[in-house]
Amino acid sequence: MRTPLSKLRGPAAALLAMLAVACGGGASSGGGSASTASAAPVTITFWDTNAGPDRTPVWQELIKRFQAANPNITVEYTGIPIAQQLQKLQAAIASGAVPDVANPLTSQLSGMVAQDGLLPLDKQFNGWSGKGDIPAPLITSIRALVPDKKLYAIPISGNMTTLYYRKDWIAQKGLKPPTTWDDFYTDVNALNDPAHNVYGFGFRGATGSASQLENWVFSEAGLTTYFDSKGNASIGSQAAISVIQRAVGLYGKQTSKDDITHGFPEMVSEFDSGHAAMIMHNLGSYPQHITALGKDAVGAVTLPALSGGKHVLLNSPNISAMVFKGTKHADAAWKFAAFLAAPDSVSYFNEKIGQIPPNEKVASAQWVKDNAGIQNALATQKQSNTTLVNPPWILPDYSAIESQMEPSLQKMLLGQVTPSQFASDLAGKLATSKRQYDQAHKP
Amino acid sequence: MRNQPAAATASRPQARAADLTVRRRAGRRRSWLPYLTLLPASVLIASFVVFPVATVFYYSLQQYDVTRPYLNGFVGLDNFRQVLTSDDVFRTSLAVSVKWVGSEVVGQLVLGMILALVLNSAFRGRGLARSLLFSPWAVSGVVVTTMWKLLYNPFTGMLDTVLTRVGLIHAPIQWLSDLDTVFGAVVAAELWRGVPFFAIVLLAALQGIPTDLYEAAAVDGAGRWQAFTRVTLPLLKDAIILATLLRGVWEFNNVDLIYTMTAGGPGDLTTTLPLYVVNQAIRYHNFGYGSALSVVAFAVLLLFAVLYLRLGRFGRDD
Repeated sequence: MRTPLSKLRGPAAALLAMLAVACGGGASSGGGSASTASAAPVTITFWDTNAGPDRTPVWQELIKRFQAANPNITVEYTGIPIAQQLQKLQAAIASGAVPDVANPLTSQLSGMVAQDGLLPLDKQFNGWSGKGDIPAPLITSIRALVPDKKLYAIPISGNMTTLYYRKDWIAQKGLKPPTTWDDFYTDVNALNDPAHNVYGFGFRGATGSASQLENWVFSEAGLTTYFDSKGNASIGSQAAISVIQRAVGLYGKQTSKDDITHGFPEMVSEFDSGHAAMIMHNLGSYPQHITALGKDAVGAVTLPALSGGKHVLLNSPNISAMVFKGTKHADAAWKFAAFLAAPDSVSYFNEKIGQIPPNEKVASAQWVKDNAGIQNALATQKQSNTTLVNPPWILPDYSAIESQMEPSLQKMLLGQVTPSQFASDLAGKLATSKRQYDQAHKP
Repeated sequence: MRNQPAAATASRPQARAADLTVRRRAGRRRSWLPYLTLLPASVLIASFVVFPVATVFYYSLQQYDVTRPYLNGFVGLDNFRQVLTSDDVFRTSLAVSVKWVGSEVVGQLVLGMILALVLNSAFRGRGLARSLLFSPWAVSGVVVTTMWKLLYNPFTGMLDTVLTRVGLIHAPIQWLSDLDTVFGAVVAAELWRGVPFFAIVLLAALQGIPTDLYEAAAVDGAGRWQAFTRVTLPLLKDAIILATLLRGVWEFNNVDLIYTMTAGGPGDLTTTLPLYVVNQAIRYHNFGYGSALSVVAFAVLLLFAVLYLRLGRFGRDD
């Protein structure tokens, strides 16, 4: 029987599948992969690629639980700040000093596979009892990211770009929540109060800025494909340029000028300290905003709809467990990866960080129902007029291209580069990368 | 006994031969002993200096991107051609480097000299003043960044608050995001950290100047300014040349403070050449091109060092 999910093609179906599963799945189970091996004691290393005061204790708790269930395996935790994690992993693969397991995003997968750094997990996954709990389209989408279509990553957590806004301020001013792009701009203008150091929007102008702008542009311009049939990137289209112009026009007027130096921590801090009425980030910062401002003050919606209610959203990558080819303890490493992807671990981890559990057995957990950000993401996904677009994570240099565009984006904010030049430069880099990749991977 | 001279005659060549052998052995020992003692250091230098540097030269002739092995291979001088003919960011980053090194070295020298002269004179609490003034030198670049970013914060920073309260400004200045202030703001933070280095070096040199030279100058009618320009400065020449050269090279290669404070932004306004190398090689994974940029930076520094030492007549008496 064909389900609505199976009608969707390609990786874009994956997140929808995962979200649909999370929305309507069965009862939560304690599950887990607790198994006690009888082998000799081994020590494996785990690199957390987004270490910090919020997430490190969560991983440490999971490690504690794993070690209790597997007393012969010791897991050594190494935390790496997110800004350096990609280069650390790539350097580790290049030098052969790899961890046994790490938790990078699936958007980084193709680069690490190109470096021949990861262990294929097909055999282990096919023989794993928890296999059926993970949506099959999601697994298919992860396989689709690499040329050999093998499985190198097991998903632990899903995500979605989210617009956070001050619900209390919007209510006080009698405004509508920013569920459409028109409402978004109206709210930004109405809530802007530079005289009191409060701005309508908090722009991400430094690390991660190009990625945020790309999400914004696809959604507001309604771009439903990443490349056209000739291989041109749609970010270079006139529709995209118009949106970039409008978005960049907010800088320095409805945003603080200091936003040009803001990466993730500064942007979140600006919102949480009451200096910005809205920011764009992903579901991962939801708990932080609630802690800082309270549930009644924070609203969380997916990026707004076009007039007519249609949503176009760029997919977000999954946090996944990956096992490295250089591991000397492949069995123990797989056991830990499988433990992280099992229902109990997925539920605990995602509840703590506020992201979407990619596991059927966790879908109907109470905490999932209580998280407004996740619920809004799920509701948007269920709408028939929502289109999900997959970024070209298949290109190993995709994240490097986005990083390269960050200084150019700053120049655009400063008026030294026009939106047209920026869009054309980015589109050119993407098209060249795709052409080179296609040429190298001709069947 | 009659045989003794004959025996002595016979034994003399033997003794000479034996002596020669011992001397030869000693000579041989002497000839390889220095090499043997130098060996550990040579191996270390070869492993940790020569090999990495040679590797950079090798990769500068390659297209080498760890994530796109399908493009990798020998490209000859293409990377250098691109650096020198069509890379706008290379030109701007080199210009920023020159501006950065000039501002830092001159600023640190002048302020360090003033501090050294003050600390060289006798006053109550001099020991405490010395300790306090030298402490920034011990602070890491990342900590300096955190401290100065807090000071520059337009919402909560002390600098804007004080300037607003005393009426010098009416709205907060965005020190690290304004085109006109960002470079100066980063220079100020590094000056704070770097001045103690010059102060230490110059203070040590000042204390080596014999006081009778000043007494002789005073007898000849020299005032304080003349004593400074005719006695102090000439005797500090070598210390100044060495300190400015070292500081120039260090500041040229400075990455930590700029990277953590502005990451080279906004819009490459504070991107120095080494920071551009870091971006190309580490952030964009383009190790081949990053290596070519490093070779060019190496050549620039080498040329600077040679010219500076020659023009400054380092180690020669005027």
